[in-house]
Amino acid sequence: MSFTKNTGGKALDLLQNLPRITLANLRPEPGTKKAEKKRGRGQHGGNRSGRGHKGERQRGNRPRLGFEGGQTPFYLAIPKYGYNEGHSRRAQYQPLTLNRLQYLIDLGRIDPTQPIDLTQLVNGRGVTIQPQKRDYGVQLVGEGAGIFAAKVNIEVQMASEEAIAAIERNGGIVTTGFYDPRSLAVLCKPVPYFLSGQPIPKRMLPGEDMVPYYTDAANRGYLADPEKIQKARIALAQKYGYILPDISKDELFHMLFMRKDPRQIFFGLSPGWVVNMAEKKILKPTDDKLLQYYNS
Amino acid sequence: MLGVRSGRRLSEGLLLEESEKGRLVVSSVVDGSLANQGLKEGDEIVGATINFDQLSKDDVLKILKLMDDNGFDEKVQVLTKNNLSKSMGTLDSIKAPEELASSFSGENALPSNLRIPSNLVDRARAKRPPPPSDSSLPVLRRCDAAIPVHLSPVQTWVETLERRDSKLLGLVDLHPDVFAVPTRIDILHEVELWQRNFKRISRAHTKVRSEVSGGGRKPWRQKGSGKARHGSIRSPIWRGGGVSHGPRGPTSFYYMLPMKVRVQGLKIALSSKLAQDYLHVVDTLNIPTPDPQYLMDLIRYRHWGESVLIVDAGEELPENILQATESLKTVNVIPAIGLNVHSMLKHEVLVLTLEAVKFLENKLLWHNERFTPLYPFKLPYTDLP
Repeated sequence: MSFTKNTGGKALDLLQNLPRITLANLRPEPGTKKAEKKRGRGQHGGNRSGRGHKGERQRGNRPRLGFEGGQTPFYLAIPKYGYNEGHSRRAQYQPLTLNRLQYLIDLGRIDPTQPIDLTQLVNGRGVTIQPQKRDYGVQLVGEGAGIFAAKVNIEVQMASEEAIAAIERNGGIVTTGFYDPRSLAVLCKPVPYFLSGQPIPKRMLPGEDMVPYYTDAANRGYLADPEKIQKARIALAQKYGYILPDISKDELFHMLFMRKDPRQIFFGLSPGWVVNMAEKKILKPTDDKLLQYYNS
Repeated sequence: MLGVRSGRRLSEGLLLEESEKGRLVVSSVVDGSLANQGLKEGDEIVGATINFDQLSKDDVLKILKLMDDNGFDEKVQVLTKNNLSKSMGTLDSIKAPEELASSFSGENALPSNLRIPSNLVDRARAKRPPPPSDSSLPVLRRCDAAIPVHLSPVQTWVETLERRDSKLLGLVDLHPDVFAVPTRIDILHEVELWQRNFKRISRAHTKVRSEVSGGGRKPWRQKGSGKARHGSIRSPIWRGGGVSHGPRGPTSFYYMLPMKVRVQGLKIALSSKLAQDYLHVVDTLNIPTPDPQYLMDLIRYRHWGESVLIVDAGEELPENILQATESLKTVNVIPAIGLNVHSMLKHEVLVLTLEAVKFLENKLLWHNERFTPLYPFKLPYTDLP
């Protein structure tokens, strides 16, 4: 039994001979609790209590931070320029490296035999998305393109050219799709949304500035023409120098070609449906106006 | 009682002789080293305690062979390190640590500069005979969860509460990641402080000078009255005035320790109870009578300790034990969900049922392999159990 022993090991053996651990025996690790320094106590800490001698310093009347005695302060002398203007309103996309994606697939946290969605990435704790902090989704980044070797059908919000090339080289499919903030919140945390009893919303189309991005075949946008996407795949293969594998003869062909409708958030669920998790039922709308709204 | 502190000196200075009745008697004493032992001529040596720690392996084998040859079995009691610790009160305990170890040479060695006062040793527990080690008891429960390859399960006996005299029903396997984790007193300290403080709401409240009734008017004119200048009769310098920096309103001391720290605290408490022999496993909580005296008798007979915390798995506890413990202050029954570090440390002894062991292992081991929560764990997850 030389190697099968317990982690407590020696400590637990020692404990047998030591007094009982009681409420009176507990103490913090020495050095963790430092005594708070109180102002104005003691022979040397008292008297002026570390405030200096007379003047604004002792009397607590010093001028504001940044004041330079009358000289134009630094923060006013430098002219303004809108470097950070509207920074808190800019869209953010959480990067997902191919390294990380390969790591998650290898560990079994992401299943490559099913379409990879932002929901799957969040469930496998691969990325952390905060829809309330102007996150608009995930962007695929090319770091680790050299070692990436998984055939996946992945849907992200933005993708770099290198990343697209790496995935298509392995016989996978990349799509970029837009999710408005409300749909993104539903996509990231579906269970609390279903428990709230609201119907699945329809995904809104991208704003003016992002429409060119999502209609461009080079970005594999979900609004782009499928034929142009095929041409772009061939062009990219030529550019990066790999042979484009033929996916139509693949065994997982059906799974790889699964794509969402531009108004759909979840595979297999349409907008307008209500999911009842307690009774495991789906309720679909029957009213004409509702159907018209959700099908538009 | 003699402690053989330096064997050579004793044998050099003592001459032993067999008297007519066949007893061992001191025939002559050499002056010097033995003067403080209090031995004199004619003293009869009735018994001796031989501490094997300082002897070499050959000497120990020689002594054991001698004892074996001469048929000393009934009169000789061989004590192991375990028993030694419990009967430390009978030895010269204040000086014992020096003899026992020199800086972690042995497996259970105590540090040489440790002083354990004798009043911390419970003489009643020392009288408890250790259960037979070689008897073949069936293993009543194996661990449900997978045990890591490099660890092995800890075992303890299963007793019964039905009869007063202790009869062992079998053995039970306990998961090492719950019952044999490294002891961290600082984590126990943190969890204990948290348990005390997170519920605390201090309702101390004093009035500031603006809240004290009155004091709006200037008491007397600024100049000319000969008195000190004042603006209000409720300023902090005045008697009856407001308090400048006193406690302000109900203050909450709520904070939450990370879930895994609290879980680790429970595991450490369980492990230390088991290691220090204060944990007992019982098959069920069925007792024959609702009489509290029966429980007290049982505890005293088995030399368990002063206070006992009994833990069962479910909410429904047998009526007999509920009635019996209702009037008792030091014996308490709780469901397993109510197990906490403070109660475990407050009570000397912890008694778990087999179902409680299963429940605790299940709950405490889950935290080892779970994902971080996306939303509260109370909401349904499909992938986490």
